[in-house]
Amino acid sequence: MSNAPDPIYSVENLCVRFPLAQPFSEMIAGKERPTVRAVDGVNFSIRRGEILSLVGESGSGKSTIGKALLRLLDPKVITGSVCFEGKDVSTFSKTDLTTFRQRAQMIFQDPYQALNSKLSNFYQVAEPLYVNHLTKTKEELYERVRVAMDQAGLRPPESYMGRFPHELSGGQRQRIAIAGAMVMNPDFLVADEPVSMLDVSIRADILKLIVGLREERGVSCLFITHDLSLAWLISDRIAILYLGKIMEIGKAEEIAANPLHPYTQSLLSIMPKLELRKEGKRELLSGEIPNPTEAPKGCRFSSRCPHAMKRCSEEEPAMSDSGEGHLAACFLLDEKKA
Amino acid sequence: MALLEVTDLHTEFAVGKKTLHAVDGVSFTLEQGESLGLVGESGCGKTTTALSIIKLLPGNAQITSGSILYQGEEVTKKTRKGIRDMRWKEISIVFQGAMNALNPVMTIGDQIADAILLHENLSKEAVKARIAELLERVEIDRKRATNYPHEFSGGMRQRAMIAMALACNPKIIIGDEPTTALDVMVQAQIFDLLERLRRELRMAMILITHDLSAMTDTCDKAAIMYAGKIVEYVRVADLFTEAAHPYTRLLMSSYPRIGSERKMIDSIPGTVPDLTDPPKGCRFCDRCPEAMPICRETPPPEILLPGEHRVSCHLPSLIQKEGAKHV
Repeated sequence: MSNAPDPIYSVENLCVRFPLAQPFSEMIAGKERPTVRAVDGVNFSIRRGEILSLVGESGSGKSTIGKALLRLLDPKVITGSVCFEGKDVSTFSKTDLTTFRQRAQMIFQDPYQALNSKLSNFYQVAEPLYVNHLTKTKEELYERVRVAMDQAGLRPPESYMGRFPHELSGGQRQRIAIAGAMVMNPDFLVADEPVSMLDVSIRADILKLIVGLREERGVSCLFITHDLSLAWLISDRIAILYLGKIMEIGKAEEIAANPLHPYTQSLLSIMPKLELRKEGKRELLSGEIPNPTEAPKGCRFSSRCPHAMKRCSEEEPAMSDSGEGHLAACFLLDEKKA
Repeated sequence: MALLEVTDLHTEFAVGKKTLHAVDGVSFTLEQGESLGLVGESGCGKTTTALSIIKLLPGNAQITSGSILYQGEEVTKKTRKGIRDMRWKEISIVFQGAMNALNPVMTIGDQIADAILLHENLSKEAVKARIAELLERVEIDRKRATNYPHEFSGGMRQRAMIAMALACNPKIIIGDEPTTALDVMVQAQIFDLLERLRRELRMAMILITHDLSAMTDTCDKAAIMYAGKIVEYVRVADLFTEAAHPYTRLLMSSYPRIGSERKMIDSIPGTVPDLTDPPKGCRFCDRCPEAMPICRETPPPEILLPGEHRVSCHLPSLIQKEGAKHV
């Protein structure tokens, strides 16, 4: 692991706006095209060797942030800056981008769709190597694929190489996808809901793999999940997202023990505890996450917040620091401090 | 007399020339107003058990032996018409993918009306009133009855499915993974709704889930299924302290316990055995950390423990446990 204390990623005021369909009549009238704000002003950084979790419901912009970090989105829809080791990813030259693509990798949610069903597992994993001409000899290619598959827990690797994805179980496929990412020896990994399609009995293996990569090779990771308890389990810090904005960010233990934002409190209270629940301990929110094209004014959580005040629907609360990097955006905190 | 009594149910699928023993000797009872959780990994026969009860099995599957008694009547011997009268009126089911279970070219109201009119001879106004009442029961605005499924969000579609399941006041409602593919908050809302409806309408419920933690808030009893058999049957209140079968204990340790000490969760190595050729002895023996030579040879005995607790296991610590009885 490098000793550089600077963050591997720093994201400042990231906004992603996807254009929506517009009627032709409005288009020729020169009206501005309507957009949906998938991500709306997000700030965070990821330190070297850190696992940061993004937690939120669907439509909160988790995956979009992951893609923005890896420069997988059209630059036209992005504003704000995403810096990888101090350099803005949007300014990368072609050569910069080639190295960047090798150093930052992604694991997708659905191992049934992420693999090419016509490629054997060996080529699945080897593809990024020969596309980038990274190996000189066949032996070297074989060796690197073997090591990557072994690291991903496919043991013995030889027995998997000749087989095809359809011959494998969901967990094994996800391991192939991870081996495909690992073969490039990346420094950074975006794991987008890597276990949500898997049976509970094999979730732990995949999570251990991600934690192991961090511990052995210092790989930093953005872990995207809707499950707060998994985020708490493996990450150093957690960011809670709601409708494209971070509501709360802080150390994983702090978020679990002392949640500041009402949304986090509610998410935490509905987490199954595997013990008998005391009556009335659940703080269920009503309704669903609003449509991001018509996000509520003021605090975007105000339409579902059990503690919403008049002020909440008028102005937007800023992030306030409660010490040790634990930040939350809520007016209730200002009142507490005052 | 129990509301539903399933005894030694066997359901088999014809797969090519082989037979797949999807459900292999499942027994349980369900009393009025009670809720039972069927838990297990995918491929353990949970859904097949449910489909056997209302005889919605696909063409290549059949119930080969065992009995299903609903209010004392044998379901397996019913005629097609008999079954059709019973489905929805007595037992209804909420399917897994609310996205796919609704008809996209019919309004929600018409789809609910279909279910009502099949069983009850009501006037147009009465049906309309009933639909409005049902939608309000599941917290959907009554005006939305004229909407099509694509105008509903995922959570609302699942609510509409529940409204449809309630259409004829069934005594049993079966939820087949009703919340998979839904958001955590919506999931909690749906469970909350099911739980409230069950109390209000005094319905019995069978909740099928792969998520052990999901049923702890909603069920009275849990049946843990593995490879077509119920390996443990226990009251949910006792589950957390008394879980006896190694599979149940392993399942429980594969959930993180947020708020307590941060400890990495465990996985269960291996996969569910091939059910066209199930192992001779205990079906879990290949994955069990406590397996003994006897586990490979003979199927485990069923042990009755105090408090309606049944376990199928060879472990001597269970067999010799105080109050244990053999069946």
